[in-house]
Amino acid sequence: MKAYIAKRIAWTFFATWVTLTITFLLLDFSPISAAGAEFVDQQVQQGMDADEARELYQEQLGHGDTAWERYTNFMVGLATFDWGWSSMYSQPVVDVIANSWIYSFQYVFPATVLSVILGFAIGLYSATHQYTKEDYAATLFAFTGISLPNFWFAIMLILIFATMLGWLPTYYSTDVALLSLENAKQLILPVIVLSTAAIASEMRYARAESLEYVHAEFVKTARAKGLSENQVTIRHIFRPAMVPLITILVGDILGLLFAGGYVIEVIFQIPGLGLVSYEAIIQQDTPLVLATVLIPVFIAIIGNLVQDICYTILDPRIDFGDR
Amino acid sequence: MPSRDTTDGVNRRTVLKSTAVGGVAFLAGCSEGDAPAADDGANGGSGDGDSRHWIGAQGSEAPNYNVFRITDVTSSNRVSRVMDPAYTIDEDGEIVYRLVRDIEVGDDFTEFTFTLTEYGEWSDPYGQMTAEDWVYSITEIIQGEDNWATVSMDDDFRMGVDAVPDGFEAADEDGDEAWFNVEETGEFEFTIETPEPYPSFLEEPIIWGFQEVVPRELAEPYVEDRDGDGLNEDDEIQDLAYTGNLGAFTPEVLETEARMYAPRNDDYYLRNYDGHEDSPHMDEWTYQVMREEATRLSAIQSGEITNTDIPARRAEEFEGMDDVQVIGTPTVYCQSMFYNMRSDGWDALNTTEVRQALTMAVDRQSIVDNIQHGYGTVAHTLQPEYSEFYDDSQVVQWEYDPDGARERLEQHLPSPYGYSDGRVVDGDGEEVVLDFVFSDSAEATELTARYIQDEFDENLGLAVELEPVPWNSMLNEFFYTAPADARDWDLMAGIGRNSYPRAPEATESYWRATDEPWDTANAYGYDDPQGIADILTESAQETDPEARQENLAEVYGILSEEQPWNFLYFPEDLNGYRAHVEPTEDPSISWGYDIHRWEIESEQ
Repeated sequence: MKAYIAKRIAWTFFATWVTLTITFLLLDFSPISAAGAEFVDQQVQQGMDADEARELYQEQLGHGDTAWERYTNFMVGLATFDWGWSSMYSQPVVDVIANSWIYSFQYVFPATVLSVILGFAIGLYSATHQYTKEDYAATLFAFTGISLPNFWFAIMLILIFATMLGWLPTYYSTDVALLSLENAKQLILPVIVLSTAAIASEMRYARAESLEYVHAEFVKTARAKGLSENQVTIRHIFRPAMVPLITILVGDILGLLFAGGYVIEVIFQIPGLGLVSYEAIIQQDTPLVLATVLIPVFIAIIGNLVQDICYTILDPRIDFGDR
Repeated sequence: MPSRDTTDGVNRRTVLKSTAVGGVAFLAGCSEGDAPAADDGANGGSGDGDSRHWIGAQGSEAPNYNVFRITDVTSSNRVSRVMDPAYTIDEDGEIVYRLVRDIEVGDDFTEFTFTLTEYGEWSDPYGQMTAEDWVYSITEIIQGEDNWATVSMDDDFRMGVDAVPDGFEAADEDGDEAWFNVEETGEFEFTIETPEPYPSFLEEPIIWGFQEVVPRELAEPYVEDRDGDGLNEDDEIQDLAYTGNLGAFTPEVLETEARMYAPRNDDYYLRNYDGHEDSPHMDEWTYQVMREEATRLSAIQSGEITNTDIPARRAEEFEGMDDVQVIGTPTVYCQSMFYNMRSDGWDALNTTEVRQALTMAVDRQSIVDNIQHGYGTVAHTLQPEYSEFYDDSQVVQWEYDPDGARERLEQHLPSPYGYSDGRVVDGDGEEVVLDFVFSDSAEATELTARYIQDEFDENLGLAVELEPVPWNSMLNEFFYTAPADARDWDLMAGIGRNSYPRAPEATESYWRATDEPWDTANAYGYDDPQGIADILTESAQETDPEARQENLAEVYGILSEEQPWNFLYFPEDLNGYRAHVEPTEDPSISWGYDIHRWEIESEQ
């Protein structure tokens, strides 16, 4: 097992390097960013030659003259934890990330926990109560949640609960303490929006996986042995169903954080990692993009490793010892 | 960033010239900051409680607080809250003194003497702000050798000359440009000497709106090492921590993608002057980044913010609200359609009458009424009608005339083009199809492009193919690119150009013909047959105001006749405020210059 973990960690570094290199190449060969184009346009209007203006812009970015120079600067910087300077925010990349992660975490974490617990619970309930009114209601909720576009749902909630009823703020403000009731209040809508689709998605997976075991022979045996319905459901249906369900967890968290998160963060103006990483890509802020790519890559790879280890706990028949 | 359509091409210079120095634009800024305070009252909305707290929404984050590199409206506005400019200009075109308290102009318009306030203090430990700081920042950083600090405005303190006069230094290798001489002439006084007369110097955004000054002591280590990145990354520079009592507010919180929070500066130097004793009239100022328009509009509707821009399509709805007021202000940006007159464009576009016909074929009033919802005015030349240089007797107004347009086009289409079955065809009888590239970032631009496509098709029998592209691609792959490398285009929209109604000479670069126009602001390749650029250059040195007015009126008459662009319209900026805000100025292109004296009462 230890050898397996060591191999996986070594693979982590290699995969990270490949991902970062591809990201760098994509950015470096992309056309000039909107901010760069605007800068050039302004300088040219003031009389500067367009090529000179492009050079001046590159000088201001200070990343290096050649692609190789830029690449080595970035990679050495990442390896030595000198993640460089964000030209988009005019501050060290480390500071940008340090300032923004907490804002994402405080709504992604509860949304993830909620979606996993409620999604799995409703899915399990639905599976064990197949074709009942409750099952249909859960299915309706699931399809509604999956179908509602987050941006539309978020704006509707703002209009109803903030503008019309005045119960909640329209946007997230950073001027309240993180551990306060006001902060919790302004996170209600983002958490609802983010978790609605996620709960629905988890619920469908959980229902489908659990159904495989509801009528399994060993479940019938468990019932015949006189176990309570709760014991049957938790120990003999949910536990085996957990193994495939865990495989979607890491992907779900990343999706919530960096895909769903962007929409939520733009609409509710939450200054989190999703917003920062998206803007960095749009504005081609290479040091910040590389750093923000590094984070999900690590989460994905380490998360998958943890996931594999969890398999062995959930299902003792699984063993990575000979790999 | 504001919508591309109205602010593309808006830079620090143009910002200062138009929407007022640090006025009421709505964009954003960032940086690291202190932990959020729990009780500064912002979240409760601008009007809740007793606090006179201004919360302005901005659609983007401020990319840089280094005053030597700022080129965007968002950053510029934020700096303006915490540091005043040298001077500004009011709605009547009069100079309004700020850090500069007096200006003397030499008889020959080559010497300008500026007297600074004696009450200006930098933050500790830099002490009193003196002329030495200003001269040092200008001569050592802005005019620094090889632009070591990579400042964005290094062209400001030099001018083109036939030969570098004695006593001046060449600013380029060819000797085509000379630096201004900038000298300290007293503790609070400095002089700028120009190599040639520069009558419009004070109306150009050079010292007007100037904020590019930092304490000498702060800059000195970087100047000695020629360390531009070091200066840019200095914490005090990026936190605006040196601004002392030079602005109405003191920067306290700068949070990435969130807000800038600045409480009232009780030591504000301007309070020593008549009429400003109780300035600013707000207790706190917040710029809140809100990227989503729907969120900004909901927030002003619910009273959580004090102001935001209002899109034209929603203006009527907001005008009908009791708690919100919408104030329209004129802009100096002309929304136009460019013609590609280079070798890679449709060659008929080089014919003046063809361009006139294209203008006549488009109902621009309909664009203003239906796409701009009435908030704007039709443009006939690159000067708004309120400009003193707009002369009715010289400006040709091409009215909408579909039949006249077709007739004119038919008469003046150069060989081998002509009409066949009502369609414009080339020498082989193939239908001419123009490539119309436009920025995909604004709905108004796309609607305008589609409308023009229909107008050309119906009124002229001229086929147009639309190509929406990102704004940066449009500039980089079509506009500022040599024909051999550029992607195909004949018509282009989505670039707003400043008309500079106070100093129109600044538009000289739009018309200057060169061998490689794609490297210049005249990237569409206008050949300037009537010498507009030369007239503008001469006008810049004209010391007689009447002669200058005549020159410029002539230029705008020629442009209306020539139609090098299809000047479509001047849009109106729509500023939404909560009802309890009472501006102290009339709507104008200077809107917001006096904002620290606007009244803002508690909203109950």
